[in-house]
Amino acid sequence: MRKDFLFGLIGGSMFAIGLVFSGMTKPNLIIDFLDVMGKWNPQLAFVLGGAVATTLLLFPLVLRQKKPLVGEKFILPSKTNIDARLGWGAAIFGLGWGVAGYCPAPALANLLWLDGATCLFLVGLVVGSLTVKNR
Amino acid sequence: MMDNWIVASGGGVLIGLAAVWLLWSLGRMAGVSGILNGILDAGKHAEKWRIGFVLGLVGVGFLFSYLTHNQPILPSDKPWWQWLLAGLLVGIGSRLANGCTSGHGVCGLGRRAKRSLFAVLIFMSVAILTVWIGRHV
Repeated sequence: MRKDFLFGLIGGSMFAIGLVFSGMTKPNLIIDFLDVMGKWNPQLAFVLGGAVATTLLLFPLVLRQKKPLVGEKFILPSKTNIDARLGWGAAIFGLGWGVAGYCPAPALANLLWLDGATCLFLVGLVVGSLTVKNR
Repeated sequence: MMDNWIVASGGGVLIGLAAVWLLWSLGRMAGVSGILNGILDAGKHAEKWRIGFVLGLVGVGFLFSYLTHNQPILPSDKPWWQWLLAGLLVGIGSRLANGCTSGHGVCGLGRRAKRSLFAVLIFMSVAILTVWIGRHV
């Protein structure tokens, strides 16, 4: 097995266990979390908090290395400007997230339960992603 | 309730560690929409690490939730077209914004990117507003 495939597989597996463990794969919980003016369930703030605390602490240590284990260099997003495309994109994303309680990772992690709602969401996700070009 | 918070934080740390692992081993960002788009755009020629990541996410996502009796719980009161519409919006929005909850939230905030802070504030606000309108108006 190629190393980069294996490393990706390990990363995706850890990510999946974290999502299931933290309750992110339950759209009901996500909607309760977003319902700050109703029956707010703050549990998921701890998920994002735990994840961001970890990356804030460890990303700088990793980036102090000259290069990753596999590959010539770290490949980081090059864009730094805040523009209308970013703002509208985030707003459209937030609208979809609020309607279903699903963002891409949890929906993929739930795929093999073959629930109709999850499959419909993923079909929409793929079609939506393919209708817009990278820039 | 306190237990839930500890479990949630632990799960969050694990998600963060997955992102740290991907950066350390492959030099890549664990942004799930970006990883998926790379596969959708390249098809058969997609980079192998992306395929590995999605296979791990999908396969272990099922296995772990099955073994720990954590099956997905979805709102049952939504008509079918809302799931399709939500997927479309999330797909279009994350492509326009170059990232979703993981790319901008977990990774972008972790490297203190201003674009990501901006994106997270907007999508959180809009999502909260959307739920408020759906539930309370």
